[in-house]
Amino acid sequence: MGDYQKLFEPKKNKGNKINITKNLQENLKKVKEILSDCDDMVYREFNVGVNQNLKFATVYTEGLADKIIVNEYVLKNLMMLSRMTEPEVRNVREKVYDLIKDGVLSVTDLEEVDDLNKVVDSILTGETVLFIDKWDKAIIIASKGWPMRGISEPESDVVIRGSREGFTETLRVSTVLIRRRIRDPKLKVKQMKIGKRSKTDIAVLFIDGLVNQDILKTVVYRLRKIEIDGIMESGYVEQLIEDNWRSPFPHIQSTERPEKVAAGLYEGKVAIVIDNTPFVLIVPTTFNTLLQASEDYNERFIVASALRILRYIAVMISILLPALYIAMLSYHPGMIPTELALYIAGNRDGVPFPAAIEAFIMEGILELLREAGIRLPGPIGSTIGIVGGLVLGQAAVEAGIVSSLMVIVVAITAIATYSIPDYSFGISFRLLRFTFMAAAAFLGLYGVMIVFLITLTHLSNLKSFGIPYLAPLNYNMSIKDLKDTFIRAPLHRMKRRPEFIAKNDKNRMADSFSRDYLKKGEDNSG
Amino acid sequence: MDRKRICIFILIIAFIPLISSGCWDKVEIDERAFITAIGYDKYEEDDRSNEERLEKETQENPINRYIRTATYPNVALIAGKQEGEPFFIYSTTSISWAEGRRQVALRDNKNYDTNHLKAMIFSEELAKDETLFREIFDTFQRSAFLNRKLHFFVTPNKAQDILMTDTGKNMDVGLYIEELMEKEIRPTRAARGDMGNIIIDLNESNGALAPRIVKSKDRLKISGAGILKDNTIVGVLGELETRNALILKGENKVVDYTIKVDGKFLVVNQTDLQTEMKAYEDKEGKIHVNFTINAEGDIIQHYFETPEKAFDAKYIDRVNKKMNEVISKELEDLFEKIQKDFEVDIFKVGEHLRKFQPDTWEKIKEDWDEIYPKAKVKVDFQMNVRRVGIER
Repeated sequence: MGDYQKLFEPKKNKGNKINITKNLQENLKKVKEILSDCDDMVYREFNVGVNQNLKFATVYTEGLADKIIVNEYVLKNLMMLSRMTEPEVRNVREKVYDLIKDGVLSVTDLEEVDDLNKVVDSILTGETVLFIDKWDKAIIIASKGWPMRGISEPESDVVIRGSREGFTETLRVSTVLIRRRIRDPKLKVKQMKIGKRSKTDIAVLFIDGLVNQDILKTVVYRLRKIEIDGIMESGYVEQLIEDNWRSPFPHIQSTERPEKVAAGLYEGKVAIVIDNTPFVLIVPTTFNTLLQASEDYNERFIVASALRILRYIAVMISILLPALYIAMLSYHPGMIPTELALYIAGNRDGVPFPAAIEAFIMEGILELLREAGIRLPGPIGSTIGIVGGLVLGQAAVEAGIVSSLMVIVVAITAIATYSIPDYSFGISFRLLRFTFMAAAAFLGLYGVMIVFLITLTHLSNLKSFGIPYLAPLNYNMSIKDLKDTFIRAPLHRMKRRPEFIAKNDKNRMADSFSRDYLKKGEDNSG
Repeated sequence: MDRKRICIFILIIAFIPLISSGCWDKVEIDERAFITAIGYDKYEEDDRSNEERLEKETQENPINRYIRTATYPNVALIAGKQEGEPFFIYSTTSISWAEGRRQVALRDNKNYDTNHLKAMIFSEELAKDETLFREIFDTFQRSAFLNRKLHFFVTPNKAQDILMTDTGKNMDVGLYIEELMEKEIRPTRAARGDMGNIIIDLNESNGALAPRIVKSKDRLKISGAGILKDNTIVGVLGELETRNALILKGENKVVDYTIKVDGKFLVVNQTDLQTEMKAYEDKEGKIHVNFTINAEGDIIQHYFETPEKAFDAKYIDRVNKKMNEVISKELEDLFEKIQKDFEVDIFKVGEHLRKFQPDTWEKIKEDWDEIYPKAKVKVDFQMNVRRVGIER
């Protein structure tokens, strides 16, 4: 019993228990009743013993259970080996169950249950159930084994320098990938099931002693509260437990990269692994983390810092550029340098639409193109890109329907949006951009400023599991808090975990560690 | 009322000022005409009598006082979309600035935008008429839409003619003037006057130097300066005089001087001119104005095949001395000309006294107009030739 057993203790459903009787046939009948019309179930009755007088039965789901385990290590052992050894009849009568459990089945994971509901659940997760005549319990033999996708490189979260492993749809594989990066007994993996019908396995991962207990309790509490028939993807869980469902910003990070999750756990965060999806959720998540790529930590700090700053600029460009274009052209031409203003004016000469309409058309087409490109298979997708981007853009400019500057603005915006590392975060900004554009179209720069302030207000109001979304950019922040934000400090200077999350063990590195000894030449480097 | 209704009510209340205070002045950039230069001439009776008759039909008692001319570039030409005239020009007679604007608005299909105005040009004829000049100048100063950096010019020609000049470079006169004034290697013989500075100068010392633009042989030239005093133009300075005035004002840093030493002409390029002005009152109550100017020189023209000369320290000393004499004299003469002939304090001696000798200033400020022309000036020009160039 671990410290967290109580926290994760499932609610007991008392009235639902169906006892297993001593009659094998009766048990089988009940199971068949529950699983009626499920043609993918395999029932196998057989006799064991020298005299063939012990009746056994196994039940499993075809395809979910590993047939080799069932055949080689369950049926074969029971039917053949036990026939060869000749137990004393009297002993067998009394100890047959222990004998079978401890001596015959060469499978590591066995469990005794006395509830038929549990039996059915186990069958549906891919376990094999062994019924024995004249015994009021059943043995559940771990035999999960279904066809699964191998570990491959994640598609949504590509890095150049970094691990190529990505999570798969199988929960166990995903937890293994994390466990391989944290070989610490303190890494806790607590599982639960969510979904009345789907009974999806969910594992909550955290490092004991590091994790922020408040966050952990909040996460478990919210997960417990979910009552839904099925969980299809981590997005379901995300939407059901996030703090503010109205916000356009994601405040739970989802990633396909195990090292991102491991790094999060080392910072005292909590990971939620969900079966049937390669996306693992990390909570809490801040604005800042969503603009970090895992590669930042693998590159030299100067390069990484420059890239971070670039990303912040990209965010500003992706939400503001079209809005500024509209505002400047329609309301404040005096703010554009003279030569440029004259050029733009000449360039737009004869364009039939006002700047705002033009911008909405072009940005709309861009979104269409992107949507079309995503759903199509690779080669056709790139054709769409060429047709849409090059041919359409060129033709539109030549026909004089849009100005060439608008095409440039749209292209820059698109590039800036794609440089945001987190996909869902990027979508939020794409959406927000249209709000900014509408504000600019009606109110000029004044409107842009209003929407900007509203957005900032919303962001500073937002919390992710009790942690302010904009953390560590607070009203009382110190310079030290900025070590992992706009810049990435050298690794040996980041000795503390983020203070707003890790409350217990704050030191990432030993205080005594310093790179000064290299200067003194103590390493015999001369 | 439940909470939701209150929320909606508050939202609506908040939304009204939001909408009503917005800038609902949307004009697409291609529907605007960016006026780059604007010129004012004095209207004369026999001028455009034809047009006057037309106006009399619509107005009861037209008193035309100005000719207002504005020019804006042909933007389609700049963007390379069309061929044609590089600029458009509209001229009208009017009673006031606003009237002129209204008149032109009736004739042009574009919305006028003065945010990018680069130059304003007054004919000297108009600048001599204090009433007219003050009216127009006040409008410029008052406008929140005008750039304080816009260039101010007076012209002996008609402002209208200046604006109609073909620059020969297929560009608008306003832009041409701006490039002319803002180029990296600035002409040293033209005064620099943007509107902000001229307003400050007029406020502080009631006198300012305004650059002068002339049209000679169908080409524009920035030449010399007009002297503004009491809101009118009182005189003009030639190109060399302007250069010297700018040295005294400390605005010229790099100047060429051609000088004759030992019967040969040589050209000294002065770099790093440092001008310091000091004014004080001596025991007899006389005001003294002393200029100390430190210059570094660079001989850029000497006489071929006389290598030993330029390396001779004694010779260089002689050059220095000669230059000090000549230039000091020249500058003193100029100061006295401005001081005695025009009685304009463009070097801000009064302002200097007010700032650094407040006691003296308190005593004399009432009679400054009489005291200033009697002040004694001394210019100490310190030349130091440092470089002589490359020789065989």
